[in-house]
Amino acid sequence: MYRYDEYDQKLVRERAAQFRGQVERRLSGELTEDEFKPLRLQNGLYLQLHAYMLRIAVPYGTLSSTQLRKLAHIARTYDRGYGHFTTRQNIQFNWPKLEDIPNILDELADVEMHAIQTSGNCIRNITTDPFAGTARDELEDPRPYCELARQWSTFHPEFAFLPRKFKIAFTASGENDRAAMKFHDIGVKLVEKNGERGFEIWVGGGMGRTPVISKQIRDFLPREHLISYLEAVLRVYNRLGRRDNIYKARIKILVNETGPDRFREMVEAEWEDTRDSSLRLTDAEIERMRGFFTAPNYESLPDSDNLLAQLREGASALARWARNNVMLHKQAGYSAVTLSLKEPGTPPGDLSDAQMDTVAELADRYSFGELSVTHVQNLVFPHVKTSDLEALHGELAALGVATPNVGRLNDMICCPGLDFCNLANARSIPVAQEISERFENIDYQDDLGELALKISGCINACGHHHVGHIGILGIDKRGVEHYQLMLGGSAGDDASIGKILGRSFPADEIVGAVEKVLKKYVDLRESPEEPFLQTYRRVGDDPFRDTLYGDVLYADHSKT
Amino acid sequence: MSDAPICYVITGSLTREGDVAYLREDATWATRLAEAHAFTDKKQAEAKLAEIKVQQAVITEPYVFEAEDRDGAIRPTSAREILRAEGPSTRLRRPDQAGARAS
Repeated sequence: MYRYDEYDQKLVRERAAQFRGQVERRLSGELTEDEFKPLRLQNGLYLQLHAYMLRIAVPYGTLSSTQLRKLAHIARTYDRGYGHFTTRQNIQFNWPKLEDIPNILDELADVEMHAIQTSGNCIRNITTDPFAGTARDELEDPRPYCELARQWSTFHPEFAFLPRKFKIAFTASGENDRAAMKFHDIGVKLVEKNGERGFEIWVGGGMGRTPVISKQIRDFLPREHLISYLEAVLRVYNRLGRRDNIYKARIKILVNETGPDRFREMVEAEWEDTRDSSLRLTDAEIERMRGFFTAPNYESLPDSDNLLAQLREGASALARWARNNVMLHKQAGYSAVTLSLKEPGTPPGDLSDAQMDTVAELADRYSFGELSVTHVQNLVFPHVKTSDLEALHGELAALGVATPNVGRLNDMICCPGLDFCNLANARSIPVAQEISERFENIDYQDDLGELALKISGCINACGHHHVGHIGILGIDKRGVEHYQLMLGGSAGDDASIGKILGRSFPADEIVGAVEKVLKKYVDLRESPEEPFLQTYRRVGDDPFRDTLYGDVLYADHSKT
Repeated sequence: MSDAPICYVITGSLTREGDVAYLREDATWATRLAEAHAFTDKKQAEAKLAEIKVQQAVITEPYVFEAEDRDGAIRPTSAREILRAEGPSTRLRRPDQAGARAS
């Protein structure tokens, strides 16, 4: 993984020291909250419903065991003993005190971490495939390009006050998009054309109150132009993005208003002036960055596909886990393992300090001390010897992170919701907990097959409800929590936005509504192999609407 | 909503800790809603709010919310304020305690 050089280290230390001074001035009353707020947001510090919340960057989701131990220490020392992994592959702490934040930032700097640009109208943490560097279907590891973009975007003075926040994702696995690339302000897809590596550039995707699938504005960008082209897109957006209305300030609105063709013309015109500037990447710089992401010191092992296939046979806990939570690796003899942070009844994405410590120890023993955070709020051990899987499974199961539900109904994305968030209209976690317990039976989940359920507590869509095969959106209906149900979303290469089928449900009915949808799917599927999304796309809304609402007409359900 | 009379409460977050806080009658801050002063008149509450907004080092982003006065017990009328007063409704947050699920 990337290691800080002296400049990185100095930058992060100086920022922590600067924020220490700002916190001291806030605590003394020298700074008002209005003056302090933009400063704290630039350092990832929110003021939420019950307490401050600190969001710590995990660049492109790559984490070392040393860093995870530090996060465990922070959870234990300064918070309430747990952390929450997020859809931007970051981690949040929900209960830090303002007076402790400077010490936390110093401790983070000790392990090359920080909270810079995890909030505010700037370029946020860059995300990618959590299986980067391991996936058989990837063209090459995208993380060197992510890191180049991270360095370019960190403290970029021109883009410190964008019209709105800005999110970039990279993917390098063809049509197997595991980074929700098409729902980002910029999506970068590594491709090969005529033997040359480069990028497709997609812009204007996003969720929130206006969900939009991004548009491709370039089908091939030579790799040396990555940074100059990103800068051209940002420059056009920074100049023309709306600042008069927060709800219309994201780049997706600009791209929609100008049209992708006109937007492309503006970007290309801007780019012409800068493409051969110092932003042009040299082969040497790309190779230097690749040097940080070389494969670990793998043992020379025989192919283990057959061994994994054997482990997957049968109905044992190990077999179920090997089927759902273990992925083939491009290195012979190795596998990638997903640690499910979705044990029934627990808040999705949470891990306690004790669990973090043990996971770090296991990462050292089984995965070269490396982990990654997924945008689905799980963790991955990227490099596990297939022959170690059985032993590892026992250890992970004892820790409560081996529930064999990855890619299944209970592998939900869930935002913190009204239990924690200042913006939320309704609670999310209790709904996730109830669903996870109601449908705990893994045989049932396996029978349902691939399913993505996503829950947001408000229209800002931090829980990605728009792209759930089944999406749940919490709303405030005359002071009472209600939930809208939507179907048919997908965050993958076959991107689609879910559709609301009818009126919202009160809290005590929403899980029953999900159950009705699941039963209807089982009735309608052509075979047990036909996934939910395929069935929904084949039969359309009507059968599901009928099962949810019967013959009751809801003329204007979009507003309820 | 019940027939209980409406009252108004001033709340905010303690600047140093971030904890939820409520204004007492003596103009100090409590972290328990039960200790809050219930204003019967919204204008009075808003006038007091304007006064205490200068306490920047103590309280952050203060505001007034509506509640019901149920025989002296203050009950917020919104789900948001109920959660702020009672804390997160999630049964547990430390996933390693899942084996001892609370009901």
